[in-house]
Amino acid sequence: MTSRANMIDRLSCDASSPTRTIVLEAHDPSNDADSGAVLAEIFGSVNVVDTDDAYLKRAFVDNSEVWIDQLQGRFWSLHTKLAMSKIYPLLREKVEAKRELDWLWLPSNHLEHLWPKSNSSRVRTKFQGHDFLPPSDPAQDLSINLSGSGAERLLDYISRDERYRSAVSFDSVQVSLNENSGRLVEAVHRMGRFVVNGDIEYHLQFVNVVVERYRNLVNLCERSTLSWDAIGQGDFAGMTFSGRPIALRFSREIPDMEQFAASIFAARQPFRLWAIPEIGADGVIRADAVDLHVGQSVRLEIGRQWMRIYLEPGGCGNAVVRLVSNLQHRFDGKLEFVDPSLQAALDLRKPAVVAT
Amino acid sequence: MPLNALLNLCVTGDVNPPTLAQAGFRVVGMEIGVVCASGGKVTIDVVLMNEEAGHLLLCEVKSGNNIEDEQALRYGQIDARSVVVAAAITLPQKGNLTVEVVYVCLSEGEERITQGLNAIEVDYPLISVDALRIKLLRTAAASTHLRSAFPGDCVDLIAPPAALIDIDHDSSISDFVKKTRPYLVRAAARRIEEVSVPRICEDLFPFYRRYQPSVRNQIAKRVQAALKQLAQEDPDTYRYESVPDGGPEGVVRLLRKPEEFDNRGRTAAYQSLARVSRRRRAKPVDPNQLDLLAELGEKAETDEDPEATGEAEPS
Repeated sequence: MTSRANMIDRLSCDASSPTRTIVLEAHDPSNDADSGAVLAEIFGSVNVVDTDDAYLKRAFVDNSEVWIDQLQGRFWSLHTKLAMSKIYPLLREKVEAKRELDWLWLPSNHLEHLWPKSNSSRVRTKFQGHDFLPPSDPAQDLSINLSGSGAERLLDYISRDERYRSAVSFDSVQVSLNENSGRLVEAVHRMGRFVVNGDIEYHLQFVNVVVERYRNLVNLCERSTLSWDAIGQGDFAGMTFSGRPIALRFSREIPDMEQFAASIFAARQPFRLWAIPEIGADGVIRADAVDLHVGQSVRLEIGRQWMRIYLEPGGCGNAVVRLVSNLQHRFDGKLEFVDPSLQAALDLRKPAVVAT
Repeated sequence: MPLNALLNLCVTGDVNPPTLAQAGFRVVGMEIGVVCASGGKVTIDVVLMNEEAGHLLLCEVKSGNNIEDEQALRYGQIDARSVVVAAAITLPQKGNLTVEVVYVCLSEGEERITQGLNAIEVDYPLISVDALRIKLLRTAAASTHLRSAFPGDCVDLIAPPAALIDIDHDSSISDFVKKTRPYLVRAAARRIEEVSVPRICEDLFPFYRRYQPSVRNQIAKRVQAALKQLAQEDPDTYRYESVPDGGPEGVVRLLRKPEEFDNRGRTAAYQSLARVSRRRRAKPVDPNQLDLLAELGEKAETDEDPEATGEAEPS
């Protein structure tokens, strides 16, 4: 018999070796993807076994094991003692090749406000704007690696300078927690990778909280999906309309619209958007794009200081958050949603508290 | 554009101000057919409702410069309760229902439309749209509910109206090409090998099967024309196969499949489908190509580096 308790025992057994967790998003608009088949494709069918927990599977990799927890629906948490250098390349190859899987794309704000009342002991920011900004920009690329209790204060200081504020974008954060719930040293990367030393049960709840905040943002994006519903049955008798474009407001102007369009629709990482963009006489970029991560359509309109994203029925909110997260690291770390509820879910000024 | 501009004022969370939504209006129906008491039928382009006031706004949207006299007169005879029934509107509270007709047009047509409405002596207000501004004209005829959405009789736009509807059956062949090309790229990304014209029509037009046969045929012919053009432009990638009777229900086959390549080849294959010459900024050094600091011994990690582990071990 293998249970969730066994997983916790196994992950806790060697305190000297950190536990790694990678969270994947398994979105299937047609709802017909068999998660067992997806896991078999990643790890090999003979290497994946069920457990007594309906939401928990176990896969054997390199004389070690990976626990796949599907309790959080479309967000799968993969826990392992394997080094990230072994598990991540394996997953990367499969996730990039599959339409059903994507990463968690934590926005910079979610890392900045990772945990209530916690101080980050290490912070890494990374901004790579060379495809979107001219060499004359004060911070075309900006990476900062800070250790110590004053890390966030320095970043606050830099962010107050107009020349650099758009280029401060959190890439990974390490926090130390010592609460009644347990003791943890937790490192989190923006693409949903966690490495932890400490209390495993607390870590699992920590991951849940981070994922739930992220899910809230994804769900809110999906609620904006454009939808046209027919009135009545039979012949066309009119329709109703719901949804809206998801609008972003940039804190800086796009310096070169043509270059911006070429970079974002280049069909390559990290955006993986294909389109033939058109720049109208009004200076607005319009594109019927294809999101090559998931094979879905997404329409975009881009002005000098704003962007509209039109999510089609069945469209994936994770794709919107991916776009936002990557824009934070390539163009504007201080971008905002125009819609207040979306912005609140992005900004996390009131971070959630873990259940104890 | 006038239809999109009208809808744009009803949606919140956009860069443009949602002044109609703020005035209490929401879209409750589009293309609603209503029978008039004097006989005949009017298809209302958009029905907005202010629920609290029980006020219905019947919007006739004009892309051109002319009105249809008969239609305009019939609009004035529409009974509010008929609209409620036709659009299947749920009324959360009892009370008097009021109804108001408003015409919506492009700014270049506002003069002619005004003349047309004056000529048949109807006093409908007029909403005039251009790329940067939406004005309420003939305000003396407008209700207080409608006027409250246009403080100063005008709404300045921050961005062009949102393109909520970007294609219809009257769109040009080139518009259909612009929609069909990404549709086929999406199919390629999903490893689909062939797609029929009816399937494309149904995906691009959610109510395709419920339209009148003449409208369905018009859409199918335009999709067919778009596919033929794409196959002609890029015969190595697309082949269009007609049905024997030459009707519009043919099939397009995807001959080149980027998904069959490895990562690098796949990206190049998709880029070739875009067929645009991307202007490259002249850069003395591309940081992705040569990181001098990394050459000193530090291992640089980028999201595009397949070898990157991204591990941040806690200390």
